[in-house]
Amino acid sequence: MIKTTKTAPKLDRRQFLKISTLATASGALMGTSANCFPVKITDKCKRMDQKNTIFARQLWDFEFVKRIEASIDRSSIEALEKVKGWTPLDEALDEAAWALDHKFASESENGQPHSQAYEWDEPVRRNKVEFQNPKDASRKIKKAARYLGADLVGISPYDPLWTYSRLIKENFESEPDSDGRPELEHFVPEFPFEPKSVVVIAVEMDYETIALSPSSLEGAATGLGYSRMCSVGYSVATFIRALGYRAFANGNDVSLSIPYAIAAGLGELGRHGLLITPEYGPRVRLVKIFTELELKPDKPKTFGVWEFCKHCKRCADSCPSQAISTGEPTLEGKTISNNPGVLKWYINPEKCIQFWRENGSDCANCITACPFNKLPMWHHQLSAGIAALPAAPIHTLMAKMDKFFGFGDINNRRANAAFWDED
Amino acid sequence: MSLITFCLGAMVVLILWGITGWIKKNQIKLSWPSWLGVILTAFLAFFTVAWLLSCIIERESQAAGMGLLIFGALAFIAFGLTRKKIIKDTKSQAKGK
Repeated sequence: MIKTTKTAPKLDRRQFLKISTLATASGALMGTSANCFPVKITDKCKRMDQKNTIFARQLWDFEFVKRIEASIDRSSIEALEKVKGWTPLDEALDEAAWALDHKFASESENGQPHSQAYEWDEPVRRNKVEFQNPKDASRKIKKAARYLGADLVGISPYDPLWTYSRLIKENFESEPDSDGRPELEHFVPEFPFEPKSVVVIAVEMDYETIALSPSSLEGAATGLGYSRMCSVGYSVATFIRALGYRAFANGNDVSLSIPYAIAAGLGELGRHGLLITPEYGPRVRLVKIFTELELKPDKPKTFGVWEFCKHCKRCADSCPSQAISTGEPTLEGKTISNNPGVLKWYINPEKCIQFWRENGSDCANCITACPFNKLPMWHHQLSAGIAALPAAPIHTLMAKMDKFFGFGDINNRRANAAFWDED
Repeated sequence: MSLITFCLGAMVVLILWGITGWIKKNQIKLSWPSWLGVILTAFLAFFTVAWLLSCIIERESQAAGMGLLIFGALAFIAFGLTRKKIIKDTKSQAKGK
C-alpha cells in the first residue's frame, strides 16, 4: 500500500526572501493590476434610462433646450466664420470627416438605436464556423478586428447593468406636435438574441487636429473618429455574422461605452469622465459589438491613472464651461444625465453641451490638455511609466512639467492658422 | 524615423568608441566615480539629442526647446564635473609615476 503524506514544504528565511522578492518584482514589472473592475460600483448604481442622456434630452427636455438656446449669442457664432479654425475651408474638412457617419450612422450619433449600420437583425450565415474554445475564438475575432481597422480591441462579458434600461427613438414618420416636439418611442430593449460577449473597439483620433480644440478642425478629428467607428464596428459585426453568429454594433446608442471598455482592459477612467488608454490616452472613440458568440474576456487593467488624476486637474483647468470636477470622487451625480452609484469624478454634461452650442462646434479641450494624450513615442511611454508610480508629488510635478513643456496647449490660434500651410 | 534611430545608434557607437580610444591612447586609469561620470554624461547627452529629435518629429517646438534647456543643462553640468574629476585622476597618476 502506498501511503501519501502531505507535508507543507519548509521554507527557510533565505528562500522566503527570494520568493517574496521575485513576486514583488514580477508584479512591478507587469506594471498593471488585472484582477477586478477598477472602479467602485455600489448598489445605488442602476441601469440608466437612455432618455436621461444629454443627447436624448434634447429631444424631449424643452426646458433644458430653451435654457441653452437663450444663452447662445448668434452674432458671435456668425463672427467665428472669419476666425482661423472656423473658416469655410475648415468647415468643409469637418463635414467631409463626418460624411461616412452622417451617411451610415447619423441616427446612432444622436443616440437613436437599431438603425442604419447599427441595425440589430442583419442576416447571419446559416452554417456556424466552430472554434476550438472561447480563447481561440477571441484571438481570431481580435485579429480580424485589427485587420478591419481597430486600433485597440478587447473582450468583455455582456453585463446588462451597462445597457440602457429603456431606449428612446424618434419616430421620423409622424409629424411633430404643435410645440415642435417629435414623437418618441420609449421602450425596453429586446435584442433578437441574448448577448454573451462584447467586443470593444477603440479607434484613435488624429493627434494634430484634436490639438486645435476648440475649433471646426478639432471637430473634423471627432467626425473622422465617428466615421471610423461606424466602418470598423459594422465590418467586425459583419465578420461575426459571416461566421454564423448573431451580432450587431452599437455606438452612442443601446449601452454605455466606457464601462465596457474598462471591463475589456482597454484603459482606465479619468477625471474628465473619459477612458484613458495607455496607447493614446483619452484620444479614442469607442464602438461595441454585442454577440451571442462565447469569447474569452480580457481582464481590466490599471496603470496609475486614478492616482495621477487625483493630483493633475489639467482637464478641469482647461474646460471652458467648468464642467469637470476639481474635487474628490463622489457617488452622486450633478444632473439627471449622470448615473449615480459609481465612485468617480462626475462631470456636468449640461454645462459641457451648452459650451458646444456657444462654440458652434464640439470641444475636446479636456482630451487635448490631458497629459496622457500623446503620440505613442518612446519619451512619452517613459513619462507614462514614471506617472504610474504611486507618489503624489511626482504626479503634481509631472502635470506642471507637461504644461511647462508646451503639451496640451488649448485655444492655439497660431496652430489653427498654420494647419493649411503645413504639408 | 528609422533613419533617425540609425543615426542616433551610430552616434552612440562612435562617441563611445572615441572615448575608450582616447583613454587607451593616453593610458589613463579612471577611478570608478570618473567612469560613472562618463556614463552619466554620455547618457544625458544622448537623451537630450533623442528628446530633441523626437519632439521635432511630433512638431512640439516648445517641448524640444525645454528638453534642450533642462536635459542639456544637466548633461553640461555632468560633463563639467566629470572633466574635473578625470583631470584630478590623471594628475594624481602622473605624481605617482
